[in-house]
Amino acid sequence: MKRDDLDRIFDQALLHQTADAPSAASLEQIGSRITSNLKPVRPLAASGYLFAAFIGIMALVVAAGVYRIGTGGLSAMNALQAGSVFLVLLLSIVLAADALIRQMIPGSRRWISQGPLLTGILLAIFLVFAALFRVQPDPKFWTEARWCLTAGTLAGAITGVLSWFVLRRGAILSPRLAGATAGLLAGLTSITLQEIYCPNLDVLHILTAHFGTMLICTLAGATIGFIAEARR
Amino acid sequence: MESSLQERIESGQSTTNLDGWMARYQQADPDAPVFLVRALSPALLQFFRAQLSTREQADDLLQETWLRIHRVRHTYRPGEPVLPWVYAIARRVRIDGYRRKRRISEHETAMEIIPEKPARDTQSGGLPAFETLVAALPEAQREVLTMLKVSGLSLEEVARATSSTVGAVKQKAHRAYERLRTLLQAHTRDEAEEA
Repeated sequence: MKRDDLDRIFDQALLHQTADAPSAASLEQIGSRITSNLKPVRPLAASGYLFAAFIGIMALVVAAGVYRIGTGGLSAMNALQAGSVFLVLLLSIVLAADALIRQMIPGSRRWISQGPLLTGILLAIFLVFAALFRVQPDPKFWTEARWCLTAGTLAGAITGVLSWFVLRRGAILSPRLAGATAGLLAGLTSITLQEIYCPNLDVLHILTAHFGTMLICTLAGATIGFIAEARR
Repeated sequence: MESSLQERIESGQSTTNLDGWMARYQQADPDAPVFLVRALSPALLQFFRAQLSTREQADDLLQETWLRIHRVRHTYRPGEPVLPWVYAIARRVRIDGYRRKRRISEHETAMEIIPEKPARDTQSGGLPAFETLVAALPEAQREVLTMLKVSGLSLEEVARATSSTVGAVKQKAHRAYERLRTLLQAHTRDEAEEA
């Protein structure tokens, strides 16, 4: 069996396509439904504006948190730790925001599949944090972890709600994927805030409370998206 | 007006034409959706039929696709190719429709044989019909092959429509061809033995 035979079958399918066309009545019905409700629309804002909107929301939440809680984390970290942490967070934020914008526009070009991208971001942050910080036994481990989890989740929730107002302008074809991405973005806001204010450099605290918050936000977003998709 | 619109439809649907008509659609030109519906619906219907939909299901999916296109027409970016945008929506409508009817399984397994012949099965030359052949493919390969060969999208356009990369599309197409070649060879052998 040669490829030519397969291509011949496909050519026949193209011919058959004309013979199996939608009925004129069906097309008329579709056209009537659309034109009866036809109004001009404003095209979706350029990707740069959408990107700025998401980043602006994140910056606003982080700024509000820092104003309220302080910058103890920045003071506690050395230059290598601070530089590495915020570099990986910045790159992750850019990639996640870009991925979310592409999900708002059907047919957007993708450089990498979204699932591996989200997984890669989570993994990269985990590995960087695990490499940069050491175990520092803390008798108040759970008290402090609970505090950071609460503050971080609140920041993530606020980011998620505000981001929704931007996200809803797009055409979300896969709510679960968009939810996970939006959740990750909210989680990145939380962890950025936590790294700025939290002076606790115990790696177990960071991975449990800070990274844990990011996971909670991502899973929450994915769950919301899953529910929305199930109701379609 | 009607005859000139028809002439424009019949004169071919270059991507440039489609881009322009989409922009006019966004500006509420009443001729634009009519043109687009007539120009794109045959290929969309074939796309749905090739994904194991009955004619009735395909018609329903076609209607739903156009309604969704209408709702999200503001997300089309003037200047960008129309077909990936349309097929991304159509693809999603198909997936949502099946999930809603609980007919898509997340763990489909490919059939190793060509299924029993439906009513309209063979084409001239004794080869199985397109729908029969692609029914034996996994969903992802079937989708890619249909878009490439029946809907006439490029690799780049299929990648965009399926939220994938060009490399992944090439791989799926290659595997689809290989599987079809194997199945057709077995089918031809079986028919020769029966004869």
